[in-house]
Amino acid sequence: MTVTEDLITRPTNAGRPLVEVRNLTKDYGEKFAVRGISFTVQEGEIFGFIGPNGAGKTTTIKILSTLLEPTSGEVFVDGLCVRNDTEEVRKRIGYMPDSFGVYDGLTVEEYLEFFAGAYRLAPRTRKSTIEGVMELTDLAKLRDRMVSGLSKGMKQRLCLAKTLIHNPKLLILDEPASALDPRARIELRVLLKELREMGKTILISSHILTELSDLCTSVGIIEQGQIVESGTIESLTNEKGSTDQVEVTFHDERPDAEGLLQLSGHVSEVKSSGRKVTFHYDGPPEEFYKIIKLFTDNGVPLLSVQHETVDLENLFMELTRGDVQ
Amino acid sequence: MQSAERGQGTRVPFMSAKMPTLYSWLGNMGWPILLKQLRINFRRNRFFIAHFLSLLVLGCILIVVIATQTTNPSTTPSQVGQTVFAWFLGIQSLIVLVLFPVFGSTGFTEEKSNLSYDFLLISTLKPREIVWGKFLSTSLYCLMFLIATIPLLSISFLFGGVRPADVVQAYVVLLGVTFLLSMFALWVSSLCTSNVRSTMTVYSSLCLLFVILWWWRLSALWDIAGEYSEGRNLLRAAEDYLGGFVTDISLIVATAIIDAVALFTYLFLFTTNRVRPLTDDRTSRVRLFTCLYLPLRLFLSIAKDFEGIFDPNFVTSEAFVQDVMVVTFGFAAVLLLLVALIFPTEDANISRRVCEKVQGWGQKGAFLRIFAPGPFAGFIFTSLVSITVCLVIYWTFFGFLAQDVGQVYEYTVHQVLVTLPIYIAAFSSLGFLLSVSNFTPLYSRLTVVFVFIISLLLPMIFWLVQLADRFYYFYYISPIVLWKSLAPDQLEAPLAEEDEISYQLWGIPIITISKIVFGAATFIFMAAGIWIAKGSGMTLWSYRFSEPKIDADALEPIESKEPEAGGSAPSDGSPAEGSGSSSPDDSASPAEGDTRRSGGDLGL
Repeated sequence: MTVTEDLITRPTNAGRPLVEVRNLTKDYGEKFAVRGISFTVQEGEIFGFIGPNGAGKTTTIKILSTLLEPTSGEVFVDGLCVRNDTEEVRKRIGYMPDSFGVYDGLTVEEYLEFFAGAYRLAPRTRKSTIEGVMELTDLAKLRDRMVSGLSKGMKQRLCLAKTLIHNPKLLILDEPASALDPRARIELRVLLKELREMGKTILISSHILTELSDLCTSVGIIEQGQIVESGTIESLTNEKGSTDQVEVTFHDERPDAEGLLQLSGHVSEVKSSGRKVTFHYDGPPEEFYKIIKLFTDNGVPLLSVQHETVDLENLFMELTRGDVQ
Repeated sequence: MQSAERGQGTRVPFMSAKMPTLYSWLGNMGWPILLKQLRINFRRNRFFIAHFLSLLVLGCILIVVIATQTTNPSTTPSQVGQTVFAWFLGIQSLIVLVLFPVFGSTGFTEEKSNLSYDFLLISTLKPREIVWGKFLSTSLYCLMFLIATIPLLSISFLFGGVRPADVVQAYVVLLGVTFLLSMFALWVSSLCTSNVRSTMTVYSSLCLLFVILWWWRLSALWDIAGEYSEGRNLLRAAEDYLGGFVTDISLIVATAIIDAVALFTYLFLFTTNRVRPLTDDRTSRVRLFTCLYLPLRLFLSIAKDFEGIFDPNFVTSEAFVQDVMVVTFGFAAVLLLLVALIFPTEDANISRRVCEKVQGWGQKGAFLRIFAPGPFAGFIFTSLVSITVCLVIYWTFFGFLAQDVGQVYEYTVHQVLVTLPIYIAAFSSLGFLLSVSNFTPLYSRLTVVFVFIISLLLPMIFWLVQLADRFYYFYYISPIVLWKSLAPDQLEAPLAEEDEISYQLWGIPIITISKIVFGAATFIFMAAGIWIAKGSGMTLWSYRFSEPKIDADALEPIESKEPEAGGSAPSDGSPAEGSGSSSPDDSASPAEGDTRRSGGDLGL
């Protein structure tokens, strides 16, 4: 058994949600940070929590992490109420905030040793667990390096290693890639995928939607303290009409282009403006060439075709208005 | 959803069926925190620089003292030794007071400014373990300094005159001061958010404390030091100094130790509370400890005043007993007023967690709810404590010491014993009323203090307005002057029946009017408080949690709201972006982030 095998989480919930949020409300006096939100996260999922600044993401995450008390509503992690079973919940979650500090006066290994002690890991397994997380996060060769000498990306890894030290079922990551350079971001994404393969459930909030769409199996979109939509990316795009947007530019003005497009059964919302025509295409991708063929067969010269698939970014822009509370 | 419901309504037993062993309590007593702190701090230059400079200053001053003392031919070697030792202690105490609070004062603020505080909170470390770890690491600096000074101390042994017992006593006192200082600095650090603010607060508090102590007692230390250099040992020197007042110093020492331990425990509990979530039970332990400390302290106070009574040569008199009673009442009144200030002014919005915990104590133990958080339980607790304290004092003077108390003062004592709990009830019910009116604990406490100060100023107001005739007797309603009307100097001769009620208004003794006025105030404040609490759905004694009422408009779906014109200003009056106010998402920790009624949260 390798050291990282200690960190594998085996599913125990048999299909029930690992996280369940019911009518969660949090107010700060007159101001509501979160207003009656509900969502679930299934075991083994990577759940993207998306929303503009001030939408209530961090408040929700802090409640999930037992750092804040909800005003009303219930939050369960692995069937345990975060309010009543705080200590048990803390054993099951690993929390990494958007901005965090590391103890500069410690070495990497000492830093992890401290958290191993803080999570009451048994002394006999402590060493192997620390080895495991260092190996997983690629920090093993830096074990004796002072934390103060680490790069931002390495500190992020160290914090993730600390988050994994007690082998939590659920990782709660608040904007983990916000301050990282492109390479560190890519490495973090690979690491998160690896963790998912190890059975971890990950709740991640981020502004970088392209990364989330690659990573997440489901998302929750929050705005003004309310969940606008939640579910798998596929179901959301289907629900909102999984139409791709296409923009065709002709060599000259073609008033007949609209009529030609009507011949295809998969085209809708055709808008013509000068030499450009935009429309929505909801047919299978492999048959898109038929649209092009439609023009070329009728002798319509094309300059360019831009085909934009509906993704998380489009979905987010469509569902949110950018208002802050 | 069986799994989800498993966590609901978890009952927390009042006392676990399995009592914790000493090992389990001590086992993880902050060890990870201690180890981490030691590793971090011992790698810093400031630790070594502070120690080196302290030892250098101490050594230089001792050399100067030795040089000046040895050149004086009239000074014996033992006197030189004792003078060197006295100087050593003085400088060492000064260094401990000046240099080392800085280590404690950054205990928590460093974690907060480093953004690592949340990591501590969500670990499985208990609040007491976090505080212990911080405390031990802070104290270790001072301990190491004290140990490092032992070689310097040994210089004084070269001249003789200093007994090992003196050294032990001095070091025990220094250690005690060190521990107290460290815990005080940690408490301040748990309240503040920046290192600078915390350090400034600690030093300014110490300066203030030093001035007060100097004015009160501390100057006696110089006299004791003077006695000491006359060739007596430390305790004997203290006894000689206090010789005019007491025959045995042991009770004074015991009282000082009990007070120091109590202060340390309170600071520890307050600091631990600051590490707890706001919605946790932050009260029960403090109330339990108060129940232990208050009677013990009063007992020691009475015993201290009466310790000479067992001396065969001691001459007691009714006047002496009366003096002790007055002092005891005064002391009890101050302590009870502090209790009335703290507990009935607690946050009235009791969390679900606390409600479920208190309900878990069971119906049979409903009386235990006096230890439960909340202003109503605080009022009941304060009232019961004040009644109990007065009954104990009554029993002490009229039961245990009955033979020494003449009938002349019985009327006086009876009146005070009944009036004091009514006064306390009036102030605590005011605190309760303010608390259920959604005043933050700090503002409730400040208001009660303000009202108390006004009541103290009543005599001056009456004097200024020169009220005619017998209205002047309202003067005696003020708590501070009530006992003046009952003090021995007012009662030079045994009272005749008619003299007992010499302070009258409309034929009613003024003390009775006092009781009626303050009793009525208690009733009105309580009734108003209960009415307000019921109206706002607050739980008082049942500890049944009800979900807070949330304005339906606040929860309406965002789709139904019209977009803002211009789009930048929030609709609910909250600050716009860039206005400098932080959004809830900016919150750093429950202590800072959860601002709901957190004003004035000092960990009480």
